Amino acid sequence: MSSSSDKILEVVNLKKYYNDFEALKGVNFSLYKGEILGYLGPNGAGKTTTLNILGGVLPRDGGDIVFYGEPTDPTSDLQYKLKTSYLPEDASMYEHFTIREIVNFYYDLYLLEEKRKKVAYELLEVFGLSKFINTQIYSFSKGMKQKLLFVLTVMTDPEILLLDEPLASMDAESTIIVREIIKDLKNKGKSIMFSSHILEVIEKICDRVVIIDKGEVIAEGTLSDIKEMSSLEEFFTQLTGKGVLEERVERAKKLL
Amino acid sequence: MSKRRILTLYHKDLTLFFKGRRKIRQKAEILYFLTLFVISFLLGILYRRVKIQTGAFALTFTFFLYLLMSFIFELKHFIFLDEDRKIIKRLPVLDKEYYTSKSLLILTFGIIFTTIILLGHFVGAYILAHIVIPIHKMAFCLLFNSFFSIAFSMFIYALLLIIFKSSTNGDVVSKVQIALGILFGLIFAFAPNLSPILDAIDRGNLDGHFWFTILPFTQFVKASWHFSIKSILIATLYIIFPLYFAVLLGFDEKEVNMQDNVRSFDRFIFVRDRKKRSIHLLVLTHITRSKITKRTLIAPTVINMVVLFMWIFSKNAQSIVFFGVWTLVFMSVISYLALSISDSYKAFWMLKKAPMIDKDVIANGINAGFLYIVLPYGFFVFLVFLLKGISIAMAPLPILYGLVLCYFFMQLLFIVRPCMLFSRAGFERGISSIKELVVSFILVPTAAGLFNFLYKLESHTFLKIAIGAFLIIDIFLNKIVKYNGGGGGNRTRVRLPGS
Repeated sequence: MSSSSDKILEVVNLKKYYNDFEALKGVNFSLYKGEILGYLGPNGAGKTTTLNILGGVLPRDGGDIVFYGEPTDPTSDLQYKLKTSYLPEDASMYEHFTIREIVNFYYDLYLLEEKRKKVAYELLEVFGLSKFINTQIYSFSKGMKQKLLFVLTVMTDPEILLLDEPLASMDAESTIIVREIIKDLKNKGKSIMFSSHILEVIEKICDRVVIIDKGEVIAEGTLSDIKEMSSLEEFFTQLTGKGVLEERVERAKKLL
Repeated sequence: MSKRRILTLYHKDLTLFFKGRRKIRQKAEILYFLTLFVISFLLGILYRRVKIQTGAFALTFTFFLYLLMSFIFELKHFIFLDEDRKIIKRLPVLDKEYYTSKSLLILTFGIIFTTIILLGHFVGAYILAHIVIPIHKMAFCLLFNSFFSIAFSMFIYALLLIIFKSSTNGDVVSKVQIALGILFGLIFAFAPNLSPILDAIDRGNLDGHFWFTILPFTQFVKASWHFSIKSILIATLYIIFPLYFAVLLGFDEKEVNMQDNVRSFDRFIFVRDRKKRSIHLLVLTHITRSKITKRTLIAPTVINMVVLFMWIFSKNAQSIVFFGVWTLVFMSVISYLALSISDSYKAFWMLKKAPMIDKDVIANGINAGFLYIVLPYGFFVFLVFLLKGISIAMAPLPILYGLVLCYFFMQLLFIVRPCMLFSRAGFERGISSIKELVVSFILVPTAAGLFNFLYKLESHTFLKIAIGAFLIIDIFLNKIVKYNGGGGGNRTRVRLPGS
């Protein structure tokens, strides 16, 4: 476990409501410098909502977000926005831009240095996207969009990367590249919050995991802690209701 | 699946249609229908002024209304509905059962709408003119209108099916609908001018001004019966606007082919500040490439030009200020729509995440809209003024006045109806604004036409009243939506990516 001085982001009692539905019921966790935090949970657990709030896209309804020891509002704190980067799950972008234009859009919007643009173009080549540089994004597949968005996320040279299911639609080759880039970024001192429900990926790259279910954090710890008890999959299903899951599987089998 | 089950399925579909919960397009259709209902109601009121056999009158007019409505309503929802084909055709259902159910549904659908429209007509006649239309005439009107219009509509669709050998070619149907709609509009605009028979009927029975008033698109025609370019333009305008609306929401948005080597707009942006530059690039890209944004922008701009050219043809050179200001203020509404409606609205998170406060994003968006939409149009209006013979010293004055007002209106619109540019909230607000625009565009001049008919005002005066009222209604009729900093507008409907 990293020391508290390395704590870069702290989420305290975070709450979010969608009308009467309580999507987040007081979520607490911390993100440390140079770590990859796996944010794990079943569908509808509140992962995307948390990341939308941390990404400044959605306002919170309660709780605090502490950035370098100071409370912050991600929707309005421009310094926070500059130092964080967000990749949403559905890879939606302004799709009438060409790749070149969206790179320029980010370059100007985040006031980046010229060399960051070069980094972006080189990464595009690595992902095999450079031949589509003058093509409008709307004609891309979801995998291509995710790769492009990953390049844009990294391009801004953030201190914190908030990644929501970044590998969901990528091909095997790109998955390996992204995984290695994430590990490399971690080694360079970047903090990464990696949300996914794919346990295998989380097991391979994350230092710590936070497990969320029905808007509440139900477990938090290092992977070695968890592995002492069981495999991550077993641990996850235990926490999120193994009995119920087995019952559902049996019911489905009987129906067929 | 039995016939009954299929009908139940359609019944659900129909119920949802009436509740307007299915698609924006269908909600728009309901609004269009309501407009026709009001026109029908006004027509009932007019019985007081026109001495004519009510049954024949109602028959002719409601036939026209229904026919036009049938096209706009797009019976293809029920005839060409792909979804039900995919679902039902896989099930063990005989073709005969399928088509019988569908035909029954179309018939039910048609009779319900005709009944509602005619009821408005009869109630209007009874309440305000104290005319009781005999039940047998009502029933005759109802049945004749329903069967004839349904048969006519179905004949056209069937013809299209045979010609195009495809049941899924929605675009062709839409195009034919538009062509027929415009044709009807033009026939009604030309008919009083060109047909001596109608002219005679009119002069003999209809108190001179009848056709001008009851048909919204001919109400500006002067009583002199001379060929009037203005009336034709107005007629076209009235037809284009609602049809354009149907098209806007009707066609598929996505193009399948990849567009390679698109020319970048970077070089056209002269703003130095980098953050502002990025927003300008976003606006410029959208207004030139997004299909739905382009449609939002181009069609009303063309309509605006029609109004401008009407002024060129008119002999009233004194109205230079009115037309200069009107045309530019209208552009502010168009610019607002163009900056709101985008098919990439799910990407609004990019602007929310960007290191820029919302206010600056909107302010820069307005500036970009002003720079790339309003200013070029202002320049165009200036040239028109010069061609019209307005002196070079006088022409810029209404333009400048209009530009200032336009900028003010754009700001006002974004305050009254706040949303992020090209966001989902913007999309929803924009579409709802178009609806209001269409409804007010039809309703207000119709009311003004009636007013003119009753009080014998000069055409030009009530044209001004109509346009002024239309603008005021459009701007202030809207509900103020609270901006919650995220998806915008309505919290229950707006979903964030992945949420």
